[in-house]
Amino acid sequence: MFFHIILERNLQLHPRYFGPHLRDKLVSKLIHDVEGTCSGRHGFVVAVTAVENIGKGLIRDGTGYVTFPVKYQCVVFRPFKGEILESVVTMVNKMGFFAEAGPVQIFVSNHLIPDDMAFQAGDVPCYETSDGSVRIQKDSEVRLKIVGTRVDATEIFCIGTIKDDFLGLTGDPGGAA
Amino acid sequence: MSSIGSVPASPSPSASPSSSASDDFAALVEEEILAGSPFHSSPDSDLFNEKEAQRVDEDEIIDHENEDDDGFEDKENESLENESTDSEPGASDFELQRKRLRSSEVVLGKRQRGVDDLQFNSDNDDKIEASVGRGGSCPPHPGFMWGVCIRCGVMKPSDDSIENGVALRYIHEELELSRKEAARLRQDELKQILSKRKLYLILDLDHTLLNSSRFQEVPPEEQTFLTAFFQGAGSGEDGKSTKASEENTGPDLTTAEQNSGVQAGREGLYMLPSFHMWTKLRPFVHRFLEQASNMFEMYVYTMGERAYALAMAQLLDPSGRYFKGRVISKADSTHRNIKDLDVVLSAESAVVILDDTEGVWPRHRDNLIVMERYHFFTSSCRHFGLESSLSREHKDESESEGGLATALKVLHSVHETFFHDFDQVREDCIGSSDPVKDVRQVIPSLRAKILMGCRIVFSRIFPVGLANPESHPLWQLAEALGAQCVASIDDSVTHVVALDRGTDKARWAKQNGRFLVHPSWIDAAYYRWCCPHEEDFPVADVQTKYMKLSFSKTVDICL
Repeated sequence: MFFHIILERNLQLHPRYFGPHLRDKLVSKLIHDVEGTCSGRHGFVVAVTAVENIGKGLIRDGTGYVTFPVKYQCVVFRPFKGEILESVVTMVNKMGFFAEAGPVQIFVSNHLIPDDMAFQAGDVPCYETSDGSVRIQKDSEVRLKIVGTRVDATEIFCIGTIKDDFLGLTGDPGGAA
Repeated sequence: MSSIGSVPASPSPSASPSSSASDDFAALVEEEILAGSPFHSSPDSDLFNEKEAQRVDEDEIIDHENEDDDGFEDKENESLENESTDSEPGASDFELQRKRLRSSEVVLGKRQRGVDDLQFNSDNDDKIEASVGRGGSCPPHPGFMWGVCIRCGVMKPSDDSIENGVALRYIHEELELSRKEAARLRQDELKQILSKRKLYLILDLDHTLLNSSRFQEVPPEEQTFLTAFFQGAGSGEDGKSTKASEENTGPDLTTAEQNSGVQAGREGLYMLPSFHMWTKLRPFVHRFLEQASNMFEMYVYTMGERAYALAMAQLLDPSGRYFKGRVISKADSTHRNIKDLDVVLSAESAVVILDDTEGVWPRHRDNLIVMERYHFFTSSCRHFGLESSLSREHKDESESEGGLATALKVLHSVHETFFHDFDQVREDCIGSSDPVKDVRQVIPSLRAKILMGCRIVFSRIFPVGLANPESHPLWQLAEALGAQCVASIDDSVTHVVALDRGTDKARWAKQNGRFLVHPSWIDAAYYRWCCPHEEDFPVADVQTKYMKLSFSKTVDICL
């Protein structure tokens, strides 16, 4: 799920940037530092949308660096248990398959793949129904539901299922969904 | 600008660790109760349902037996009851407790029903689990990815130690499977692979498919030879030119290989600067892999490091069609210095192992076909106490009669025998879903045909007074090869094995026109899988030191 939230961060700036473009430098440093990172609590920071407030800088003794507390708005992506996601398959093996929905990695084990789909080894490993009408392989687009997450300080992993109504293949490799 | 939404204080039950334990437990309890009811009902037949339900019951009994060993369950219930009276539980807590109590009642009932037939061994256990199929419910958890159950998505309980599962790092860094799940997968896989008329083949790398040597272990004169051999018909001195000469029998280099700095010379000689190493592929290896891949699904299992194993797999199989994703290295093994099939997702009855060292496979000797070691480099010979090497003598194994060619023939006959018997068994008992045929019977039976019909007497191989000569390794080896060993001379003896011509038995053999052979004749039979020519293993006049020779045919390398 996506959220638009306000976060705070302390930025350390080298004294050489103290000048007319101080604020611009802070913003670009902020974007560089936080976009694409992941915290277990808030999820993946997708984009910084605005800087709310930059507090008073505090000079660090001995180094000359200045720490600014910065409040900013950003869009975060945080997967939850029970959520439905669209994802792209990255790897298929006999244990199941891995998929990615943006930055988050999801594993769907063969327990959570419908029973009528069987693993086919070969040059392009895939899960396929016996009549060949549905075929999940690398780069397939798949709609799945998250059944469990592991949340670390800096990482989020998910276990997903496609064994439910309206879940499963939504697009073939290369095809526009 | 105001925010569109905000993260709730406690995002979801699963996300906040403090609340998850009890909620998850409630979920588990619910599932457990469901599992007791005819949850797996299928429209096929009532008989089937009954069986299925019974199996599930049995499974649960096993699990709760384990829990019972800890003696926790009842106490836990009591203590919770006390707690709740103290602290005025909410309605949901109360509900939870009732569920708990109900579940423990269910369990108790089952335990009493099943108490008579509780003698399960592990095999039995595996079969039950295997027959349940992909269905079933947690717990027991089938396995964990990133520490999350791959079926129900709960976090791995902290007391679930690694001993219950096997880590399959070669499939994915964080994957871990329970033993039961692994057994289930093995059964599934077995059916699939047999329907394709294939078996599994586990290949060792060093000394079996190739030979490697570090730069610093290569003596200077060998270095000169290798460089000359490597460059073949006039490539650049510094080896910058990665163009393989016309004689190169291996497949063309991929760009990936070139990027990693691997340089290919002639006839499977490679230089790997990143590993500071020379690698020589055993002659015939590419054709061996190609033909074996028609009969087997192949794994690589080596005691080398992961990076090395992958690099070697890349040399052997640049396109990844033989063993992509099935390269097992030292770090993946569950035991140190031992190779075991527990990390291999394949039924042991259908696995053939090709390795040069018998000792690393203590549990799977009957699956094993022992290869003669391939020593191309001097340093590798020295590790095994041998004097000369192929590269010093400017020789190499013959393509057509080398170790791998022999192995391929053996693999052919193993495959043929297995499926011949397999088909027969299937015809004999139609309806039995599980035709039992085992590679572990096929290999020894084939081996026992090698020296069939030979009656062997040993002369001065072991001391006269030895209490039971039957336990001598050479005696046992000869018997395993199908020969009959006897302690004293009689008319039916066909071979006398001796170290020198001077013994009574040796003289008897000469007078009566029987074969007099060196003990290495038996080793040769073992490695070459045929009865070797006796003339090639003459016994010298004076006693010679018993040493292993190279049994594979060699050919000269012309520069």
